[in-house]
Amino acid sequence: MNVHVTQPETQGSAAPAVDYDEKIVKQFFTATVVWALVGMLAGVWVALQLAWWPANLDNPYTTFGRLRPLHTNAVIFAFAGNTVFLGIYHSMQRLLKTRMFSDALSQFHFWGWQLIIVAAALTLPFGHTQSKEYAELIWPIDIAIAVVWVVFAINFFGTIAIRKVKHLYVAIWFYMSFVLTVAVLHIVNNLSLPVSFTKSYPIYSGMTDALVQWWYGHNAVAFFLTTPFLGLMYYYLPKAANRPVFSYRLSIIHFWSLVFLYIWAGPHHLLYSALPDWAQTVGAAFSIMLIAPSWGGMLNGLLTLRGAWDRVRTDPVLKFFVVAVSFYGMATFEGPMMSIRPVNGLAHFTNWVVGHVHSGALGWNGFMGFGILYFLAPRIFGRIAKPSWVETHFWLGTIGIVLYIVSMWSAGLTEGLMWRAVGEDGLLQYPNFVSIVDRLNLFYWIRFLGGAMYLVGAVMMAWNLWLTARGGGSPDAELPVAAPAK
Amino acid sequence: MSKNTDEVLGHADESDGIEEYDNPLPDWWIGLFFLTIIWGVWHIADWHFITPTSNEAHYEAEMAAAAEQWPDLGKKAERDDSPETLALGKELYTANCVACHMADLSGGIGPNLKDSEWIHGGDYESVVNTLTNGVAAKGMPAWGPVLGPKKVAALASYVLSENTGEAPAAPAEEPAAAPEGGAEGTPTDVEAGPADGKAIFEKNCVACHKADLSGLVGPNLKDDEWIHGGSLEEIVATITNGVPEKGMISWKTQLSDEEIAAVAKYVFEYED
Repeated sequence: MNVHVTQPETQGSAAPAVDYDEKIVKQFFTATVVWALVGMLAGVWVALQLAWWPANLDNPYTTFGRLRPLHTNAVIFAFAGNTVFLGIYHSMQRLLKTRMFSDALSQFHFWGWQLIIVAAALTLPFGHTQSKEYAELIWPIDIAIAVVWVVFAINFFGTIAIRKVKHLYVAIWFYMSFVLTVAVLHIVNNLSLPVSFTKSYPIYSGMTDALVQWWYGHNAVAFFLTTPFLGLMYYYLPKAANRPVFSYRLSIIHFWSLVFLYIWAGPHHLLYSALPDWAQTVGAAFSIMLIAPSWGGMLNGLLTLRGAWDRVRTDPVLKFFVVAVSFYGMATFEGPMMSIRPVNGLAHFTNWVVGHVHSGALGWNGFMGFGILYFLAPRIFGRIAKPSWVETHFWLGTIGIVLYIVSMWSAGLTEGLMWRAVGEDGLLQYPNFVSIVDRLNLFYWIRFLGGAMYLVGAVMMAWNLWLTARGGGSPDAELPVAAPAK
Repeated sequence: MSKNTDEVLGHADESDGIEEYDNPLPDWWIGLFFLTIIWGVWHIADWHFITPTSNEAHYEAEMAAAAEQWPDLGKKAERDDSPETLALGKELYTANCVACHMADLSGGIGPNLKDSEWIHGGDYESVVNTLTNGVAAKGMPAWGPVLGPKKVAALASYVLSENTGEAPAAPAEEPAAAPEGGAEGTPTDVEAGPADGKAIFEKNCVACHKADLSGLVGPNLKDDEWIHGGSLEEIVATITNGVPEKGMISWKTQLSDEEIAAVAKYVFEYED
């Protein structure tokens, strides 16, 4: 593994020799913060609707069925997406010691992506949807996504092509898996025949359509919310901790095993369906095999902190990262368990699934995003306006996640057990569905409270970062970084 | 972790200053990985080859176990007109059926159960069938899985014991009240002037169109969408002749021309 250095350069406080594109970083920084607020507000709103229906305002545009996809699209593609782009445009220029391949393509990517998000917000509330989960957007927007994605890919691989280093750092591998696989997933799942400007039919039908959809749906989790965030972790966590990454070899093994195994796991969304039995079994088996590769990432993150745990107590950025990586480890154990047929029989269609995805979304993606924003703010703006608020945000968010997940576990188990409860006479004990829904109301309120706390934390962050940016200060993209401990 | 060498690879200058150790994979991690791979392979082999099974086989096994535990569940119970059974039937009827069929079985959203007209058969077997399986197309739920054969039998026995066999009362049965907790009074309680459209509407129409005209079984009457025409004349025609294929009754034998005109005017001019 001895890659010889061709361009020895001093690192650390030396003035960067490369003129990095900082404008695009700031743009994605802003977009990440703005869409975080929008997506999380929509989430808290729909959570309130489940606890207290009048919050749907009694008109079709703001009912749960239309706002829920708006929430998921906003947090996944707007908040998490912009977080990833922010991290990639910031870190890859530095990792590859080069400016992005093309500033024009960077700008096209940025504005194209934001317009796509706006288009989503202007179609979903009006009922324009493909009815595929996480692929709701109608075909004209899908084409726009494909175009913007190809532009991004050209810019991304172009930057790799013109890099000034030979070695590709592990973060870049993870970014590559993201750029390549999301393109394939998006295009294949959205192949459809338009019948009007707003309506199309998928070229697949029936079970095939469902299988393609969940091959996409599960790998959206894998290659949009997992691998790029692991790439971000591999850059920002050792940077923030100022420690060497625990194991290069672990990073190789868990990268390849992760991307190889993940792509097969989609059928676990279709257990006990009309999908052929063997495909269901394969989906479950590959999900179980995913535990160790997923935990490889968590291990490499947590073990990188060896010797820096004292700083985790004081550095809020590291706190966000530690909690994020821990939730990643928890969610990637919970997911495989839910893929086992009998467990799935209890969990499927219950709020347990909602709790599961939110330990990933709020814990892993959200906290990674917050950590990166707080890491970058002093490096972009030279300071943070209210450092104590970061700590408050961390605790609001953490307690919010715990309330969210515990209430949804409880709700999920409650309804899962009540649906199947059979009395001594052999009949359903709760034949009246509404009587079960009634029981969930308390949990819905607790979930709303947890989500609201998480949102309040995010609002504090946005306010803090706005004050930070408004206060000016000299841009200091390359804060001195002490030499890593040997 | 004693095997950790903690020696850096030395390409930090090619990764923005981030050093990397090349520590060995933790033993327990490798062990876990192999265990899950073995589990995965074993699961595929077991499910399909060793103890070949399938979702269908699991379902059938569960059903067979249930049939053994509750042998009576799949069978029909006999009609029983003993006072205890009829009392149970009445109790079940009150709890589950009155919203649509009314406490006196005279019908509302669902058909009249005390006259001699039976849409799906009036013998005991047929009534049990209808109760057990429901009539999904018309909104009658399947009560078999909810109540079980004994309670279905009690319910059927009760309904048949209450059936007077009287001649069906013309096409129209008067719905008594809106199903959503509207006034509970029987229709005859409503004092209506002959041309009081509102009173006629509340007496005859609210069960399907709701008191605020927002529609339920029947369409919304206060919006701008008119399936059969929205002029006063067209509304009069729809009320007079009904739309039998959609369940809208012809009111010409129930209401005088003057009353129809009044209720049409009420609908036509209605505002929240």
